[in-house]
Amino acid sequence: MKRVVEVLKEKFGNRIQGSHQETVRELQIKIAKEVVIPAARFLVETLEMRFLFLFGSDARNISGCFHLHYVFSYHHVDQFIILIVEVRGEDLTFPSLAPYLPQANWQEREIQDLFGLIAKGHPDPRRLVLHEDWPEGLYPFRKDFIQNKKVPRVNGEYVFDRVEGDGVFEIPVGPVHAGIIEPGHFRFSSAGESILKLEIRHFYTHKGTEKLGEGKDSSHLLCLAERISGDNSVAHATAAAQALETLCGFQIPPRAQFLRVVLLELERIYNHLADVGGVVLDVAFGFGAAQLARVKEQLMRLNERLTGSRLLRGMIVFGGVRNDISDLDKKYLIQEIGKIKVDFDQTIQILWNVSSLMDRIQKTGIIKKEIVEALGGTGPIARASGVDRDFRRDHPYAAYQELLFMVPVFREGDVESRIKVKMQEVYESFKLIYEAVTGMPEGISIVETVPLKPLRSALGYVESPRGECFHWIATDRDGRIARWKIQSPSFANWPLIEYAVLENIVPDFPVINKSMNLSYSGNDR
Amino acid sequence: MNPIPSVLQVLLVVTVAPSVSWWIKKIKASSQNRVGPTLLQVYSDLGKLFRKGMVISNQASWIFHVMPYILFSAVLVAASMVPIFFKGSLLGFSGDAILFVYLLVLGRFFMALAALDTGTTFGGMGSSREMTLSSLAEPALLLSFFALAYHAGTLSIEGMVSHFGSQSPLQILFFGSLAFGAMLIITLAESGRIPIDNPATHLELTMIHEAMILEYSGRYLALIEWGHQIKQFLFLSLLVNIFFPWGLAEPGAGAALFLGSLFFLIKIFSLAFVIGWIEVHTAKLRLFRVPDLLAIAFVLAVVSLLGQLMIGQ
Amino acid sequence: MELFFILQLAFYVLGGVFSLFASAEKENLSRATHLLAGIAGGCGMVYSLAVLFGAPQVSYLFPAGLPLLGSLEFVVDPLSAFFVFLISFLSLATSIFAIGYTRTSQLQKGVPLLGFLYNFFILTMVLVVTVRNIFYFLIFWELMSIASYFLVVHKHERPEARRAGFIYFVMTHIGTAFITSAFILLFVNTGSFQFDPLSAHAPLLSPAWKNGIFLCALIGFGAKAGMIPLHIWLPEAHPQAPSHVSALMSGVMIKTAIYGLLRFLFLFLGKPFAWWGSAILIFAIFSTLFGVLYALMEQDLKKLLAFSSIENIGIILLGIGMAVFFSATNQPVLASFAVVAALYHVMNHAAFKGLLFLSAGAVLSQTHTGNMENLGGLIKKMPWTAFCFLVSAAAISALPPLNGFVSEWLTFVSLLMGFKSESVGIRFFAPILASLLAFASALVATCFVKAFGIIFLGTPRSKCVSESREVDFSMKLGMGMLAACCVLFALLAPVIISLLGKVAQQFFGSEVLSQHFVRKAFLIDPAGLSQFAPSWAFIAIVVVVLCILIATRVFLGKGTIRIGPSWDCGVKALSPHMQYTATGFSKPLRRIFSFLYQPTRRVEVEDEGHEILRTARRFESKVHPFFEETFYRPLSKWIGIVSQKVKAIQTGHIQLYLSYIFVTLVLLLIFLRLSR
Repeated sequence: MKRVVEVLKEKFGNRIQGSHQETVRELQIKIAKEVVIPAARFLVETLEMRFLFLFGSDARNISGCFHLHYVFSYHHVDQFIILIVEVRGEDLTFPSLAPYLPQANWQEREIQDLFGLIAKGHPDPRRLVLHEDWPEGLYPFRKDFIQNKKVPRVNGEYVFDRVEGDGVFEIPVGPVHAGIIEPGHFRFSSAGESILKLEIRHFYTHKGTEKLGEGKDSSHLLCLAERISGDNSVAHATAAAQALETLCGFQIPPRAQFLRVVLLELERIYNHLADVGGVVLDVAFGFGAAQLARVKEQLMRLNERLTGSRLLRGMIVFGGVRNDISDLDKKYLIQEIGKIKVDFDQTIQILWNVSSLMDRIQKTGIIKKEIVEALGGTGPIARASGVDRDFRRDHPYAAYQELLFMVPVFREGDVESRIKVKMQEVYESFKLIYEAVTGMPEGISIVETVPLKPLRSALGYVESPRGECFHWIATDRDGRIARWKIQSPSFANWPLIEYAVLENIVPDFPVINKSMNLSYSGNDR
Repeated sequence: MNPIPSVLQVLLVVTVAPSVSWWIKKIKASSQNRVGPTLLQVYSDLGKLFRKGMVISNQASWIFHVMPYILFSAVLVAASMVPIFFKGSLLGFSGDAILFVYLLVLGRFFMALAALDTGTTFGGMGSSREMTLSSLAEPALLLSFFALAYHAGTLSIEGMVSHFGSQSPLQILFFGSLAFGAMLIITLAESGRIPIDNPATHLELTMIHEAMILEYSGRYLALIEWGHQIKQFLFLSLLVNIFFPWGLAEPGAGAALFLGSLFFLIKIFSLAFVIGWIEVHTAKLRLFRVPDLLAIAFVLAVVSLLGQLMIGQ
Repeated sequence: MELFFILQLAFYVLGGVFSLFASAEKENLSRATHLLAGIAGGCGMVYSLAVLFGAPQVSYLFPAGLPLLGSLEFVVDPLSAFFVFLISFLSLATSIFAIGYTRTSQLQKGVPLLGFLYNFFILTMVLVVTVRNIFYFLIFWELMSIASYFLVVHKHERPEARRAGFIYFVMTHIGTAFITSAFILLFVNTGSFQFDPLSAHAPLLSPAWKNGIFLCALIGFGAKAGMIPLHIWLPEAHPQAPSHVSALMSGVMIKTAIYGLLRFLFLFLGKPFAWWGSAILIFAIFSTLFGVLYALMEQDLKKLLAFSSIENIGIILLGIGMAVFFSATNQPVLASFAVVAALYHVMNHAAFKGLLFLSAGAVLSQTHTGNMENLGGLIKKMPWTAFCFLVSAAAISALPPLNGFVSEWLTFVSLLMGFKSESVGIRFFAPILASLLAFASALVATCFVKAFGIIFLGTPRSKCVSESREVDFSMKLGMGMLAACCVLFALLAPVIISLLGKVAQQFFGSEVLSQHFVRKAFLIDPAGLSQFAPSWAFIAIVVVVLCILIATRVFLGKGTIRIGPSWDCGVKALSPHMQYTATGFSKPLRRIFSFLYQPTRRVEVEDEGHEILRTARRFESKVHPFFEETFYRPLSKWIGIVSQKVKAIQTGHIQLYLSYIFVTLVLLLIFLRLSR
């Protein structure tokens, strides 16, 4: 990594204002605002690093300025690079990365809305997080904004992108849907059944979770983390806990690492099963959907038996795993997993023989590999389009480097591929749980926690069922949490749906949406 | 001829029709390891809708208000033309199969208009899809009727039922089964069942029939739902009485009437079981594959007609 | 009765002259003109109905005649009476409508000329169907075409009008050429110009001549009727004419071609051949299907109605085709039923298509746009117009209990009577044709759901609608009359059929009795296939609707109704742009039949620097006009090329022209010498 810094210093000279290894895997480089774009492009294009996300923070009471962080990953050596830019004084603008790396589009708009910094040259500077009824000039994530103050609403207007032409009309769907699903708005432009264009608009359930976490202690933080996206509780909590543990610089016991793997994989299984069931339901194959829902229910009951919570909540704590599992529980777990596997096998066999079902899901909702890479797609959606990425393998955490598993990748990028990826991952998860349970080392499952070190920061990351999930935590002088950044996989993946629906007809939209199964709450935070 | 039994027949149809929907729901539920609704549930749903107040769009015109009545009436008049529980019908003398089909078109025309009345996208969507698919289903339906009429020598539905009641099954097996296949597909289309439409969906973007009536509530919705159930029952009755007419009583036969009606109900519920079985075993077809299915129905009807001509009649 | 005939002609002449020469201010002028035309229509109805009800045929000898051409005699036999009735009742309604319509801003200029042409046009149509002499027939036919041409180019400052007029002019003259040939061939065989001797001579025609005459007549009259593939002028010309004239053109002018065809097929040509019936059926079914398929893709209301007229001509020709077929196979009773079906549809079409065009005119006069994509919600501004449009849309979609269903039923049964034919081919194909007719009819319903729904329902799609108000009394009266006709023609079906039976008797002799078709209130078919009582159906539907209404009121009380906004999924800003458009409504059919339409689609994309992430900006889609592109464009190109080549003989040198004359003289002398 020192080599990287040298190369950058060669290229950009004194614009590189300093660097230091914040944690074992994170290299922080301070860089001037003017060269951040060329530097970022250099890292991505020449050094073949991967841009992950960018975010802002209000550090005015620490260093008198706003900070922008650009996070890159270098999976060959399992390292991360964070470029830090200061935005100081009166000039609150920063050069926009979106024209070069489209995946930065939403992230920069979020910074604009929440911090009031302005991305110069952004192709689409409309509001993203805050809706048109939020007054101008109020930036909720700044330190001087009081969270529980009542904000007067204004009348504003949000202009949707329309397709012009005779005979073209718009189809607005949501935020209130006819089924019990989360709120989100979809604006189609269509001249009949084919979709010409889709624009989505979310953030109806923006709760300001990141700001809520500021100043909280670790158990409260993890409680909040579990509720970012209800069905990814374990993943988010693990990422946050790992961030805290890396920040304090200690390792949790090996048994805890294995237990975390078991919990993460249990969560992955029930999520993927529900996803497949959801897709089958949306093509009106009630039988398949009902059987998969039944299997999912068995899993939820297993979760409750093991941990006391159907959604596996309350298990991940700072320092390990709260409750150990007994030998009796381990045997029960292996047995149940075996039964569920047989059931799942049978149902899948039936599903694959229903030709009307297969006809619906083949060649529907194709996302091309280039689009996934351009927009930074992640998780099973990316793997279904040929992008071979999995943080469990590329940047192993918990006990993954000691376990053997395959990462399924398909190339077509349609609904069927996404289902197949999820199904294969379920089988791999069955294997992982078995390995983890049988190979679990003895020992304690939790260590005593220590107070957080002041003025430190760390990145925690987990491959959640939906994709890569990052938590970045920074502490202030008193060791309290100063900034908590959550990069959820749904936030990265939602823009993909605008491209998945092109060249499909309107009635196929629910299947496509369900095959991606992105979380609205996870996106909105 | 005594009109009282015929009037009672119509009333009986109106009463019994929802139970067929219940039966199909039960079949689907049992395939999904569920219990399903009770028989009373279907009726109490209708009753609840009738008692509720309505919320009507401020864009709606008189067409919105008039449609449920026209739809229900068209279905009722069509019902009074079909011999159901016995071999007679109230208005069978005043029209034939063509009038029957076009009465249903009358109802559908106004339903499509009412869908466009409220100015929502979903209404237009449902209206467009429904008119497109029905314009492909109608020729198949009428051609099946024509194929049957060729054999029976009459277009009147009562006449067809009497004629086929007096034929031995083996004689008409070949062309009859083809015509039955065609009409079964059309029945699936007209009743809005999987694989053409999913009656139990909440996804507005996929709906065909439901999308047209999204804005309806209260008694209007009750009339529309009930009319739909009666229409479904009529199609099943046609299938049963034309293709499996044995045991159907003559009008005015007294006790035999009662037994005949019971036997008829058994046949109806068996056919409904087949419909339910089809719904359980297939997923909903992609919208632009449905014309292919309807084309198959048309081809079956053509072959049925051709078969008769080849065999020589 | 002759008096009424003379009066009718006189009133038309008076009305026309009045319009041209009176110099009163415009309003009273057009009122008077059209009132006179209306009275003339009334007179026409009187004597035509008298003849149909059994009075002896009206004949009138015009005192003057052109030299060499014979006497100008008019005879109104049942066939002519039917068509006179058609012209009269529709022109009565359109004249009343025009009283108000010509005062609207649509037709500010040229009102005197318009009134004159209008009267002249109707006059020529009446003359065409009553005259008994080949020459006079052709003269009046040509005058009718010229009058309608000038009406089509009424708004001659518009290039579309001029183009439409040109295409119309060319096509109608192609038709006239073929008609003239047919008549000439008849003359050559019979040596007479009068109709009666021609009918008498019919059995003596040899088959070769008969086939030739048939083809010429079919092509000639087919061009005027708008039969595929000679239809290209119809969708251009009918929209350009003023709406009340379009009503007449679609309602009666194309039916004069049917009149001519019927005279040829059943009177001049004697017993037809079976293949004639098949040929007519093929053209008929193509007209039906192509007409409605193209109507579905139109966004301009009047063009949609014009394509729909092509479809209805197809339905009429289906009846005629079956009649020809049955006549060829010696089944005159079945043939008469088919003729009755065709004539009934002629009448019904005049009623509902006339009403559709009049309503279109009303909409056009208020909103100044014929493009459906700009309209919407008009039912609230123009309730009467909307109601009339609804009645005619329901009638044209063959919904019971209106008149469209009656004639559709008759046509279906005519086709299905093919079951009783000896020919296996007809026994198979006639039901197939019937199912294709059902297909077309269902598509018509789709088309008119779209038309009515997009124009009158929902919310206004543009500002054109906000200024609209309901039209004035005379326009409402004109439309209301035709709406009443739509209902009456259904309720009075038994009476009408017995009247039409008289026309059939004229073709097939006295074995045709109305008992074969009508029994009290029931329409029955001679093959014993079916029966239908339109009045019973009407009563049943009305009674049941009332019963349900009363029942719900009695058992459930008034019920509470709350008014709220349409369901908007929680987005508080529902805009008219979020309604379905006319293009969108017919999109699924366009996709299913894309092999026919060959649609071209153009999407302009934008990307923000990343080609892979491009999204649509602008969308345009067009349907490929099959006949124009496949036949007419190459044909006209070829004619142009050949003309260019032939132009070579016109060098401008007088010596060459003199030598042309010399050569021709020599050849003529040689020919005369050899033929001696």
